[in-house]
Amino acid sequence: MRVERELMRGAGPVAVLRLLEPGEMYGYELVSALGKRTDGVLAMGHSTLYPLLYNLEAKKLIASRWRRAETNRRRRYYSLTDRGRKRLAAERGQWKALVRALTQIGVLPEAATASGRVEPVR
Amino acid sequence: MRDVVRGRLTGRLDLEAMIEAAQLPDALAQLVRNVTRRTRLSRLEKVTVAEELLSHFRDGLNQGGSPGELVRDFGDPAQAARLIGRAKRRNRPLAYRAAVRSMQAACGLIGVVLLLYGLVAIRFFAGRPNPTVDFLQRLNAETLAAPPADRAWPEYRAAILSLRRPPELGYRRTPRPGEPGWEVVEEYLVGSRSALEHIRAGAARSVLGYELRFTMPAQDIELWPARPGVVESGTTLPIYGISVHHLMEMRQLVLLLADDARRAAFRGEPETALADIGALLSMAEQVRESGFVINDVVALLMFTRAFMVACELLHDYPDLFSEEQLTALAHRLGGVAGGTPIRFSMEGERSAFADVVQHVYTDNGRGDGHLTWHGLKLLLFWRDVTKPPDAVTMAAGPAVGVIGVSRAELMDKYDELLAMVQADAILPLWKRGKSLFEVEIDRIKSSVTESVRFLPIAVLVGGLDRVSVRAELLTQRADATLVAIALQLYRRRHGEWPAELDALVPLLLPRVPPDRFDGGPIKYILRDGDPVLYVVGTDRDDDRGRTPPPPNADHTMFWLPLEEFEQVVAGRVVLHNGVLDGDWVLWPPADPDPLGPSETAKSAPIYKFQRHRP
Repeated sequence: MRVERELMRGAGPVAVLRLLEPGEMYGYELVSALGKRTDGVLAMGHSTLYPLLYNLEAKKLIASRWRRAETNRRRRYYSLTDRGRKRLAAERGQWKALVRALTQIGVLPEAATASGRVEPVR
Repeated sequence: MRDVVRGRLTGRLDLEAMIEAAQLPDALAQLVRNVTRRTRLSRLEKVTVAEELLSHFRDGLNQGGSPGELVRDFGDPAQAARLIGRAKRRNRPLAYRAAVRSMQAACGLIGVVLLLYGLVAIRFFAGRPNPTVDFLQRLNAETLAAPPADRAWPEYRAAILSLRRPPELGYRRTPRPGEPGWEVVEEYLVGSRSALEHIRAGAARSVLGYELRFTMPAQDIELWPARPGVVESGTTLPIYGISVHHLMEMRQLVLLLADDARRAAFRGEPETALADIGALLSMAEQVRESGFVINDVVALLMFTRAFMVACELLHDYPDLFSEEQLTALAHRLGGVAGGTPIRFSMEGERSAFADVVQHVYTDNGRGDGHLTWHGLKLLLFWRDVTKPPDAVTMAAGPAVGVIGVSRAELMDKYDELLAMVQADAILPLWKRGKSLFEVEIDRIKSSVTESVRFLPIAVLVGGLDRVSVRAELLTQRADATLVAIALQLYRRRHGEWPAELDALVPLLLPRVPPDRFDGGPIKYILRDGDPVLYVVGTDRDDDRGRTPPPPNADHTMFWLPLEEFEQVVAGRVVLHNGVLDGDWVLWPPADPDPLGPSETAKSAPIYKFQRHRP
């Protein structure tokens, strides 16, 4: 199950910021992780990832650098900036408020809020 | 150079080589090529994107993806290219984006300006003047209407053709009776009796009868054998450029006639002297026919010559003329001026200018139009015949057309300038300030913008106000000559000179004429028993008949408005000849040009007719 495009437009950037929180990643790694770690819910077309990354970079939420991988091949790695960390924290608060609100009106079950897990929309 | 800077030659920015070197399967290589090409980014940005996509697909292949899966997972290449391009552009530095925007705006603006200039250029170069009024015919109408028997020019032509080559004496001017070389002059004059009769016969005719034309009539070519260039074909040229060589020839005839008056006086032939002076005046009146300023200037010179000779004979030969002859001379001279200032209509000059305008501007049928390339070339030719229009002139031409005023506005300005000239011309010198015409013309010519706006005026118009100043000075000379005649008549009747000029009024003089420099009466004193007639001159200061030291003895060329003269006195303006301290003595006539050796033309004949030139 993949989320609607409009929802993805809001969730995609924050998901990428979150994936980069522990450390830097390259493009293919990011797009793979998005698919695998969200059971395909936040999987995005590879063509969507790069514009998203470039936009985040334009907003100085992430930074990039070229680095040689173990195979001696050049790869571009992305990492979270301080501004990106602040934005991620702010986004987290907003998403929590959103989930809480959706729970309160019965769109989401109580358990979802308690466990913190977001079930795919069925 | 640009490619070197961009790294194209080093291969750093060679996109195709980079894709080839990645050795990806064709489908993926084509996808990278497709996406990067469609981003419409700079070469450097495209290379960065391509490198990242190549790396992406290499990672995908390494992790077991097939080319088909990777292509599918990638999504729509067109949309990817669009989004990547937009995001990358957003990523550009602010200064870069500002510079690009500015450049785009500038390019846009330049484009618009070039487009507009192109349209203006088409209008400018495609415009054609369409002369509809035959001003030449108008100017010649009176001449052509006169019966051949009333036309003077054939007589003048016959006079010039009958003259043998004048002698060469090596003096600055023709010697007068009693001066070295006079006998040679007298011999030439006696030998030119037939020519002089032709001149007097011509002067007795009612019109000059010289037809202005671009193609010289066959009978006149003989007068100007050394000037084949004046024979022009076609009549589509403006009359501004028409030849007026006949005026120069007539000036020489006037010199000849003036010398004959001196000869006649010297030989005691008052009738001939009177006839010569009368002929001089008639020739001057005939020359004014066409109303061009150049004609007026030549006429003024002729009148001046006539009055100077009359004054000279009255002084040098006090008993030459009988009382009746003196009275007749006074009436003849008084017919020219006699206290009434000489006026000029400027109508011919306006016609000449209007003719230029119709050859330079288009005609929309309602008296308006715009400057044309053909017209601009004509104006530039008149401004400097040695400089043909170049590419820069051609490129700037449409701009001149845009900045320049329209045909109607130009004629309005010209009429405004003529009105200024005429407003000044009706004022006597003592009431005149700085010429409004001169102020306005200086303003136009000293400003680049204004001289382009009113280009025909800036190129062709100037000095019109000086004609009326010359006319005022001539009026002053004419008045003084009439007073001199009255003085001679008084002396004969009373055996002495009058103590003051009022004694001449009203029997010998209707009134004492004004000093045209200060508005008071013309000045008169007796010095050593002899009369001196004078006016205060440029400095407006009565110096009791003392002339300025040479070379300023003759004030005729040096009238200045009072405020300008005060600036000269204050040292704020420096005159070439210094401050003119002294009076203008009108009688006895001063000799402004004493006989002396010619420094420039030792071998020149004493009368310079074109056909006698080597």
